Amino acid sequence: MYTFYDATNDTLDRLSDLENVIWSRAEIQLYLKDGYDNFVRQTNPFFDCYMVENLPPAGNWQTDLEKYFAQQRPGWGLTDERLMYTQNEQTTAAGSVSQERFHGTEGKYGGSYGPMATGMTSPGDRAYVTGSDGLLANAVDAVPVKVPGGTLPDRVTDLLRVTFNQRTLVGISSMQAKYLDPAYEVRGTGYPQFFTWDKDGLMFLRVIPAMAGVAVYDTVDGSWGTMTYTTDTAVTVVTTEVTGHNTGGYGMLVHRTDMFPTEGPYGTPTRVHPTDLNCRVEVFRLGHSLDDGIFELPDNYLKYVIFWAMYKAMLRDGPGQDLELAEHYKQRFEMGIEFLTQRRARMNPERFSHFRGMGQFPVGPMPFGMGDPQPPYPFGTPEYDWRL
Amino acid sequence: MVPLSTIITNVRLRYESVSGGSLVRWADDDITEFINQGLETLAEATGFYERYASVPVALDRTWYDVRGFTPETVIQVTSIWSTLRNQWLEPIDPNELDIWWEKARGTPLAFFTKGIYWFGVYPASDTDGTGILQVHFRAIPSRFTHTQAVLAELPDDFTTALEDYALYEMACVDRQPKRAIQLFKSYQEREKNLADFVDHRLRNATAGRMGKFAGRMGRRFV
Repeated sequence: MYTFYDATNDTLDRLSDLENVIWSRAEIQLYLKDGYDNFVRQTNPFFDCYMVENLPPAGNWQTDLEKYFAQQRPGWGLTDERLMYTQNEQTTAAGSVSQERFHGTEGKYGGSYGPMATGMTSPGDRAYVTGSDGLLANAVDAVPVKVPGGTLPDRVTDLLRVTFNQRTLVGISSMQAKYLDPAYEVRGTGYPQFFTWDKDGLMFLRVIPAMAGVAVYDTVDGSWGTMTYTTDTAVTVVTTEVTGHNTGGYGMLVHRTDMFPTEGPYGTPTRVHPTDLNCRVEVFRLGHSLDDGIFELPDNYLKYVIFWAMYKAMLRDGPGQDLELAEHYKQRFEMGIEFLTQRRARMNPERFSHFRGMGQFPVGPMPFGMGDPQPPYPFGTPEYDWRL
Repeated sequence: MVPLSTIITNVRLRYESVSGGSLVRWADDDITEFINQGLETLAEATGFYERYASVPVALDRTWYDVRGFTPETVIQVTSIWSTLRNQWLEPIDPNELDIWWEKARGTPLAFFTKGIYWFGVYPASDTDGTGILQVHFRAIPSRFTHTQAVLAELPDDFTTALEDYALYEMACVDRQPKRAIQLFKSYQEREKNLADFVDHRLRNATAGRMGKFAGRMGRRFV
């Protein structure tokens, strides 16, 4: 595994400047980060899935750490979306003060007061918030339950697919949405059919119609901390020994078979997101931050990042400048992009045709945007050419 | 099969003959590093290193991470054999499926790839632990580590490409750009020759389209 530290050394070694006479480590690291992001953004090697949780964007907490995670570090705590606790941001009841106050924990932790929504004591308990048309039945404790979409992580580089309830949503422009329904933003909630990603802020993905905040999550029941079991509840500690070994129950959960490990494969799951009644987004993203010290790219592709750093280093005015080599290293970087892009394009070279047929699944004319009638999956009756 | 030690010796010989360099200018470790980078570049560009890994089919699982099943860096999944169907999975673009495809359960029929690490199957399996997906792929070979290490898959005459690459890297570090670029061009020619060999192995032996008997076999029988 190649580290940021190793890459810095390698670059300086190639530049024959391990003593940092011409280039400082900080400068080289700047170029490496730049090259890494540049390479990944142009080649899109990292596929990932995120969840726009179909839960009310409200929350509560028991500890300050929980609040910090919920507000500042989405994905680290029990929620993947930032939660807001201020009245102005997230509720609509006139004259109400902070949501934190209304849904506090009676002064137990976090310094909040007042009545709280029944059972809602943590960010993970947001499913307890119920109501209609975006408000609790009790308007005083108004909490919005309408979920118009979610903010994608800012490292997303390309959007591939959006699903709700495991059904593919249709991507449309906001202009098309206006034609469909000028009031699409203020309509009630339902099962989303469309999504837009072009108007509500660079990374905000809107689903149409808005979701009703009704995803069914496991109720967190028990101690906080790293998950050890495949659901949030019913942790079963198996103590039966088989051939001298404990058969399970202890240790950290590292994966669950039917779940996509977002940001994986490293780390441990923090929450199990159901795909039923939930909105999942498939994306390409940038690599993990180099502040963590590890490149996510396979080692063989890191040389291109180093070539970019050398190109930048040799381009700079000063005693180390070498424009001819700099240009060559830039070309090597571009060749790396070409290799990886070509490789993805030719990923399926053994795709063979139907006998005497065509190499691709037939795509019929689409006079009404619906396409020709097709079998339920593309392995139906072959299309024989009866003239032969 | 040419061992690493021979490649290093050849690189030293060629380096010294053109530059009058000394034996101590480059350590074996440095040259080995350059040779390994050449090997990886050659594998990326030509896909000569072919392998397969056995992936157990898991219940409800659509996505599989190839990192979990082989230590090698996969650069291209070429095909997948399913022991559940005794059949090759069909490579598809999931956009060609209907919008409910993700809900389907059964015995996987088709596969698709996403990014460099993931492949998906359609439909997700409705059984657990009863079948294997034999994933054929092209990969980056493991690096040379020991001086007697060999790579059987690389034809001997193409180890000269690794020599060229190492010399090119050395010329770059020596700040001899013209020589470096010349060496890189020489490497690229050898790379192209290997890529042609890899891609066109069947050029003269193919049976052509089924039913037509084109190609050598067809000419003999028709």
